[in-house]
Parts: sequence; C-alpha cells; structure tokens
Amino acid sequence: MNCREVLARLYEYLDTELDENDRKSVDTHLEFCTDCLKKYELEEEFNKVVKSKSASHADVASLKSRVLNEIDKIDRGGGSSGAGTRSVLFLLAPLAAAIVITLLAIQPWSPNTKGKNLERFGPLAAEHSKCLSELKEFKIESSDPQEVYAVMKEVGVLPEQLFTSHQGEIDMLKGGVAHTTYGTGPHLDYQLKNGNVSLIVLPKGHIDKSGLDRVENNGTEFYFGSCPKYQYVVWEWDNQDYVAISEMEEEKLMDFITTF
Amino acid sequence: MFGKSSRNQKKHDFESEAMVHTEALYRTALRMTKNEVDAEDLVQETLLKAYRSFDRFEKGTNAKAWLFKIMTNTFINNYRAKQKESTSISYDDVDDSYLHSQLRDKPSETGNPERDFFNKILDRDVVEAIEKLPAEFRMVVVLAFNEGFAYQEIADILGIQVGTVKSRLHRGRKMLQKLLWEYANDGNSKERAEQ
Repeated sequence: MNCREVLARLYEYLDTELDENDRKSVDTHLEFCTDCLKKYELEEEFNKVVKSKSASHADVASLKSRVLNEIDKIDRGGGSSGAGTRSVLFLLAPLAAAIVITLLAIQPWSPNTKGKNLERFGPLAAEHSKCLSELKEFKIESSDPQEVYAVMKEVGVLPEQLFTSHQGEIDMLKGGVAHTTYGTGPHLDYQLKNGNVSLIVLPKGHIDKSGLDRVENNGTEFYFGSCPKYQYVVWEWDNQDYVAISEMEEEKLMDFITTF
Repeated sequence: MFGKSSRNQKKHDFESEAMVHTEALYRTALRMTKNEVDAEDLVQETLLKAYRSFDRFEKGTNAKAWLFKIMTNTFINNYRAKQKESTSISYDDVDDSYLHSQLRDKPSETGNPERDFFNKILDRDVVEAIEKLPAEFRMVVVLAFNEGFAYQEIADILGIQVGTVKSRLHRGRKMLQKLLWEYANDGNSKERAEQ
C-alpha cells in the first residue's frame, strides 16, 4: 500500500474494521513511513481524547424504576382486558380448529436481518399519526407474494394465506416492518381495485381499543376507528392483533379482511 | 394465556436482557435530544416499546443493538422534527489533513503543539461539539465513539448502508476536529472560561 491508500483506510484501521490482509498492509506501511505514522498517531490521540472526554455516567435508577412502574401498568392493563379477550378466544377456538391455518416457523426480528430495497419513510401524514403514529420500514417491494414471503419470514410470524394473490382483486405491493406507538410488527401493503390497504400485525392486547366501534361478525370482534383520512379495523386473529388501514370505506375494507 | 408467573418471568427477563442497557440508552438519548427531560422520555418510550414487542425478540441476539434501533427510530419519528438544528457552520472546507496542517502551522510555546491542543480541550467542549453536529452525523459518531458499535451494527441500527456509516463517521470526525480546534484556539475559549 502507498501513503494515499493507507490514509484512505486510517479510520477503518483505527476502528479495527479492516480485514486481516488490509490491516497487515497498513501495519507494514506504518513501520517504515513516519509521515503516515504521525498522522495515524494524531488521529488515534484525537479518538482517545474525544472518547474519554465525552464519556459520562448518569444515575438512571429513578428512570429505571419509573419504567418498571409503567411495565407493571402494561401488565395489569393486559390482565384486566384479558378477561374479555380470553372469552373471545374461547369462542374462536373451535373455529380456529376448523380452519386449518398453516403456521410457519419463523424467526423474530434480529439486528442482522438484511432486507433488500430497504427504504425508510418518515413519519406519516399528521392525520395518520393519530391512529398509530406509524413509521414504516419496507424490506421488500414486489408484486410476487412468494418473494415478499421469503423476506417477511425474517420479520415475524404470519399466516401463509396473507401471501396469495386474488386474481387481480388483491395484489401484493410491499412487505416490511411498522413501528407504531403500540409496538413493532410485520407490515404488508396490498393494492386493491379501489385503493390500497396496509396490514400491520402487532403483539396481542397492545392496541388501545377504547373509543373504537365494536362490531361482531361470524364470532370475531372487529373494532372500527377512523382518522380524518383513513379508516382502520382492529381484530384478533391467530393470537395476534391485526390492523388494516385504508382510505377505502369500511365496507370495502371488511370485504378485504374476509377474503383472508 | 399469560398467567401471573409467566408475566413475572417476562418482566424478569426484560430487566436482565434489556434494562441493563438503560444507562447506555440514556447517554445516547441525551446527545440526541440535547436535554434531560426529552432524553428520559425517549428512553422510557423506547423501553416500553421494547417491552411490548419483547415476545418477538430472539433471546441471545444483540439486545443492545435492538434497543438502539427502536430508540433511533423513535427519535427520528417523534423528536427530531421539533429540534432546531444548528447547521449554520459550514464544514466544506475541512479537508482530510485539517488538524494535521493546523498543528503544523501553529507556533507552540512548549514545542509540542499536539499536547497543547489536547490539553486545552475541555470535557464540555467535546460534548458541545458533538451536539453541534447535524443529527445524521451525530448519531453515527455517538454510536461509534461512545457505545463502541461496529460499522455493520450502526448500519443495522440506523437502516443505512455500511458505506454511509463510514462516510458519515469520517465527516463527523473532521467536523469535530474543526470545532474543537476553534474552541481551543479562538477568543471563544476566553469567553468560555468566564462561564
């Protein structure tokens, strides 16, 4: 390596991010090139000074106990509404047994998950944020359900029938992750004849259903809500909370849901 | 479904896997939000979100990176908009050997200009300089310098390419060098000493 090549890799060398070959080449160069060595030592010292002078210790004991308190509230909240949820589940059990749902063994999110076409959208329109304050992170854009499924199985547990096309009636658009005020979960976008639908799957019992209109349909409870521009429906399926969000009217949205 | 004991177990696991990172989260939150009240709120929101989706978290994987990802997303989503960015300083003239040439051209009383420079840097200078960086550079710098995340981990946390991490960290370092050089050598330091 010459000086230019070494200097271009100085920070990666310093951060131990170089592979072994490159690291050795830089080592060798620094042994005989005092000019580069001086520059390296300056960067190394700067690194050390910034790290040590910005290192801080904070007492987070009271913050921790505050969080634990809130966690107790979440657990208690889940418990009190749990009675209702449990009875619905009980009613649904025979139905669930009747419908054979193929569950797929799927890995939960891990930081090493790599998706293609990763695209981050900022906060959605202000009116949408009143629903879920959702931040979407798309891992794949494709109209091929199988292709979306292949990526989405890294994101969460989803029933297979969500990954099927319905002859031009419902087409797959995108798959990804949604971060909402109620938690993080898999997120699928579909294109329908009259508009698009976002489907978000969250851990059960985390969505605040107070203030939503409850409608029972075929033994399942659906909760309808709306923001200025969007309609959304929340229901429990397969031990998870599903949310469908759309600009379409409620009836069309229900048609979409019952297709699955 | 969730009996009392399984709930206690979940809380217990969450404490030992996630809550142990509270201080690290708070440290970073403080650099991101630049004030203690918002930092505490951001950490609390992060941990509660994490708790809600803890069932999905695969035990034994990188819990710290997972939490930092939730926190940076929350920050970008909820806090960044209300933050006033101080981007009035231009960093375009900071070339790669900025510090090197400044030191070379600076007359030194002790004969060791590097020592002089590093000795003049105060802790609060460093913190102030980091907080002056535009948010996208600040996040990369804090994750690398203060939390010791690897480039790939930072890329995963922020949802950006490793190459982007590299270039932001590079520019972030150069910006810091320029700011700290100015703090240490300008009239600024006198006025700061009086504070």
